[in-house]
Amino acid sequence: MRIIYKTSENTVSVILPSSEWGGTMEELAQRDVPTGLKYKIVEDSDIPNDRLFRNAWEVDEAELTDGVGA
Amino acid sequence: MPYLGRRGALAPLTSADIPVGIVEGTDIAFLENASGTHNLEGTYSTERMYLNDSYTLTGNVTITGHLALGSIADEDIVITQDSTERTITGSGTLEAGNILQDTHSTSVTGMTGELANSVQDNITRLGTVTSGIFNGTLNTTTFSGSAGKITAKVWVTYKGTDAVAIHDSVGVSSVTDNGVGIYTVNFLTPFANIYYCSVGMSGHNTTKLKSVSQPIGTTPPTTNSCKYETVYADGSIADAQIMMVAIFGD
Repeated sequence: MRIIYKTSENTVSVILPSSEWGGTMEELAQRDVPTGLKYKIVEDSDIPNDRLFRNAWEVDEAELTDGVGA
Repeated sequence: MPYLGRRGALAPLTSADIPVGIVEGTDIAFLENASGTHNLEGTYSTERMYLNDSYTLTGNVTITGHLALGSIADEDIVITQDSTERTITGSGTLEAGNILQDTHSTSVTGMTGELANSVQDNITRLGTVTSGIFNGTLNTTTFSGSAGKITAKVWVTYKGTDAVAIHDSVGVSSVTDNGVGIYTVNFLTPFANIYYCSVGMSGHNTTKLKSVSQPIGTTPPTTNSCKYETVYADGSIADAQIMMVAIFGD
């Protein structure tokens, strides 16, 4: 699982949990997503492997419905 | 409680009353373990062994001889202190352990100082080791003070290309992929301040020089996370096949 959010610069950031993380993805999102930014928890397969146009990735903010960084 | 004594005398026997070698092992029918708690205090300057189930430090103890605390009962040996902090000092040896039983452990509560190997081997919880050398395995130990400053509180190694993946880490909750060559390491436990020391290196292919930069002008370190960029010598940012970061600090 991964967490995606849209930065204030309109880029897309992807959070990868470490193997040490023992909480839920929701708890991780609450602490590691910047305050006030909406996020969504997605499957690993939802993230493209091809990073050729990584900085051009976009996400519709309306899709970020799982919560807001604390 | 019965004791050995000189016939008609009021005082019990002392070691001075028993010539060396007069009592052989075969003369002793059995040893009876005292099931109560034995109080320890004062100076132990001779070779002594007590057989009790538990021991309490009721005063400061100085050991210049060899003090062995044992038990022949089917119990763990427990050494505690009374409500006052006590110290054990001296140049002698303090040992604790069961006789003929290695299935029990020795519990040392609230004690500091130097302990014999037989005690150290059975320590399951350490408080604060303020000095000396600990030779053993420390699990789930958090270093603080000077020891905390010379051991990395956080380290992580991850792949920054293709599907970004964390290889291994300590003290890291997550890594954020912010775009090409830009990553944020998020800490499990916040640092005390932002003036921690971060060292890192990255690599890509076999010939290209790439360095790790902290963009302090736009995103300075915080107590909870630190952002890194992997850049070529000309300043251009690019993904790193491998990224390694270690952080020292409070």
